[in-house]
Order: sequence, then C-alpha cells, then structure tokens
Amino acid sequence: MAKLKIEKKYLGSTFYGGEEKIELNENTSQANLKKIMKLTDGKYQGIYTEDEAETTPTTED
Amino acid sequence: MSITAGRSKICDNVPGGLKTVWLSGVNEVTSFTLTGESYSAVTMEASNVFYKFEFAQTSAQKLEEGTQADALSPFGITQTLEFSFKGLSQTDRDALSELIDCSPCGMIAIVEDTNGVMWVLGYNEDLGKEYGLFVSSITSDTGKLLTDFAGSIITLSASQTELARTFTGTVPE
Repeated sequence: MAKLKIEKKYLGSTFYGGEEKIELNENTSQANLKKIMKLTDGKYQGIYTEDEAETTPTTED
Repeated sequence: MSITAGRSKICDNVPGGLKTVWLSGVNEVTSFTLTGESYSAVTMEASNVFYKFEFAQTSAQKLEEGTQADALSPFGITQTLEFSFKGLSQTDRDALSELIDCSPCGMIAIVEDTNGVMWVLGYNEDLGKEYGLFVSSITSDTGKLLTDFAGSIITLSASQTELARTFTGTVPE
C-alpha cells in the first residue's frame, strides 16, 4: 500500500470534514490521512501518495 | 459543453431567509475540498475557525445575481450577503470594525438557509480565495421614532465567476 504524504502547503493546517478534525503535520498518522481521503472520495488536494511523486522513466523503442 | 441533466420540480414548502452565518478571513482558510460539485470539507490555516454571527430574525439574505452583457462577454456573478444586528453597542461596533479591517484581503462565508442547506460565499474553484467578500455597506442607525429599527444593516459582496456551491461538511467553529 502506497504511503500517503501531505503537501508542504498543507502542513500546519487543520482539516474539517464530516465529524473529523484532523491536524496536518509531520506526525499525522496514516490512519488519519486515509480517513481524510475516504471523506473526500480520494480527491483531497493536500495529500498525495509516494507513488504519485515518483516519475516513471520512459524508454524509447 | 452540453446539458447533461434536467430538473424536477419541488412540491414541498420552501421557506426563505438564512438561519446561520459564519465568517472567516480568507487568510485563515487554506482551501475547500470539492467532491462532485459541492464542497465536502474545509481546511483551515493552523487551527483557525469560522465565527458565527447572530442576526435579527428575517434580516439575513444570500443573493446571487448573474449577468452577461452579450454572447461574447464572460458571465459574471455578484454574491451579496446581508444581515442586521438589532441594537447598537460598543461590542457590535467592534465586530463591524473587524469586518471592515478584513475587507482588503476579503472574507469567506458559510451560510445555512432555512431549509438546512449550507452555501459557501467568497470562494470558488476558478479563483480560490482571491475574490473574497468585502464590506460593501454598513448602515448603523438609531432611527427617530420609538417604533423605528435601531441597529446596523451589513452588506458583504463578492465578484465571482461561478455560482455558490453547497457545503456538506462540518463548519469549524
């Protein structure tokens, strides 16, 4: 399972969605980040996966 | 673009007016999260909150007026939020003064109408928080007669490029 990471701009912010209040910092748990993704249908702009940050090398045939 | 859905009529009674108004300065809000076509969550800078402004019954209104000069011009929307404070006091004066001080950068409002639907004003997907609400008028009046209204009427306005979206999250307050 890819690790969820917080975009720099969102560090120090507080997420409010549904009944949840989750502080976004270096110590925010993966469980809470998954909760945010679930509450926002995976569209929360402040979180990305480690996979998304990596660029896939392309080779020319 | 194409039309993708029609619309069905509502047979319930639909009351007018607003029930609750919350305000925050744009600098206290990081972003709203769009889920489908409505906002499902809000992220605040640090642990800032929206502040609830109570108003005189039947005095609050959210108004959106859209205009387009001709087919070549872009569509523009003016959002207006109006509410009144009953009575005049130093506390109200200070609250109004804070709204005026917030105007240069702008404010974002979440309002709940009398049907229980919440709306976000002063923020949209095209412009984010760049065109927030500002105080477009304040009238603070003692009236003349014993039966006159004594209080303040506050109007906030914002220029937007799309209609206000509903908010389905919990307001941070």
